[in-house]
Amino acid sequence: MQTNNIPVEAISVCNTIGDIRPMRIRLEDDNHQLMILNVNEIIYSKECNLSGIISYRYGCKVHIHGVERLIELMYNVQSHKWTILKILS
Amino acid sequence: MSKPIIFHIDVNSAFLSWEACYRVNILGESADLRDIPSVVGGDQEKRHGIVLAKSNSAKKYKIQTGEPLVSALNKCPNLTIVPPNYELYVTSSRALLKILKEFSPLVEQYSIDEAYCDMTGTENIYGTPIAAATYIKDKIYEELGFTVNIGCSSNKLLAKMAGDFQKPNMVHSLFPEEIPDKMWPLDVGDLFFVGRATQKKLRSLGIQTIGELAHTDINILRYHFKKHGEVIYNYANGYDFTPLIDITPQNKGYGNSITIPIDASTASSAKMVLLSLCETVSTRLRADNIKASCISVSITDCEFSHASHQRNITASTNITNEIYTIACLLFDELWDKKTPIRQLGVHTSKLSNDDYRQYNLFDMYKYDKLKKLDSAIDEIRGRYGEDSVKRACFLDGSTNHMSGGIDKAKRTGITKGVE
Repeated sequence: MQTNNIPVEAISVCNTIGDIRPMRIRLEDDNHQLMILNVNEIIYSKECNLSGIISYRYGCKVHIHGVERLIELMYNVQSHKWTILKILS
Repeated sequence: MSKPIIFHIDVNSAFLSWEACYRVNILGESADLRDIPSVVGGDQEKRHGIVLAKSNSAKKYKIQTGEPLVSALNKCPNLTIVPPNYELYVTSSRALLKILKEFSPLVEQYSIDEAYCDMTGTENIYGTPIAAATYIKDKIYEELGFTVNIGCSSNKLLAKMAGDFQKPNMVHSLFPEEIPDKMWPLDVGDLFFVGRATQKKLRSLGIQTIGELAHTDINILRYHFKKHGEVIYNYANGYDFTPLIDITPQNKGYGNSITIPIDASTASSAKMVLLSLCETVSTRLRADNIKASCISVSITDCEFSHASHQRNITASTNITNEIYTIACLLFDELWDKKTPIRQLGVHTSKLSNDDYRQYNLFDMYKYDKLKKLDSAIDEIRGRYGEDSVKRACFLDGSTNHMSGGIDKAKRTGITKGVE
């Protein structure tokens, strides 16, 4: 699997004050199978304005093939796209 | 009243920094363009293949901004070339301006990657100029991910000179009392407004450094350079009284030019290009409700020699057909009918906001009808896109029906001021 910048489909929830939280993501694995990952825990979240592009980054704990991994998800506000920016551990 | 404090903020190799920052932070690429020999370059196939920005490592290979990509590749065969992404640059530039406006109410955008900031009277908020500038510089890096140089001084000229001292990611000051130490030892070519031609002329007068220029008799400079002599004399002494303006001044002229993909060797093909340039220029004039009364045409031939020709007209206009007719006359007078043409340009100046038209006894066209036609076409293009309606002569597709300016894909208000 690529280690960074993987586009994913996502289900997220917005609360009443406008915070966005990813809940579940879907992506294609190495065997070209769709893999659904539940976001078990959000360790951190931050708003970034790097290059003037507003994005939200989330450090999320997910189970990949039964192993707990920490990934950084990015939501690009302008393009409405979700990506796995990097797999942290 | 407190002493005026002006900051000049300049992004280090702007296009490349923005591109690198985007690739690393948004696309998650591991290689940083800023650390490897790399350039942002135009499209070689369309003959726009020049270096637009270079990294510091590329600078070591003596690659210069504006040189052809081919020669850059000769100097450094493993050079990474990335295409420009103007939309990103505008986004980054706007984000930069937004941060600056948090610090000062008066910010003047000088170009896409440069801005002046009036920090007068902010000492009690942000501390001394150097401390404030360092804070702004670090905040920009932290928030936006690219580095800037900030020059601090008491006027725009000195701030700009200070910003150019040593790069990247630095803060420099150049207050009037520092001029003899910091500015005068520099080469005269480093002075703002001294180009290659002026530098050569100054050299022949025995003036090598800015200090020598500052101590030259102003009458000698006036004699050799006319009005420009006074300007550079004042600049060499650090005098600059232009105020900071945060409203975009009105254009002095509207013009567009294009390097034709294949050299034009017939008058008819060149006139097609002229027509398409006239379309762009007059559309821009009409969009700003401006009329021009001086039309000029410029030609750069395949030997890179440049020539231009201009004409005043009795009534100012923004009608495409009228501008095109004059452009054709000028073109016929200017071109020798054999040298292949590389670049063509149409420029208009002497602008006015007049709503009326001075009729001429010998007018050949019904200008009122043409005006209505133009405004109808503008409206259709505004509503359904630029390509929704075009002249039949462009139907074969060999020439774009509206040439010049930034590529359509890249047109994102790059030349307009930032809100």
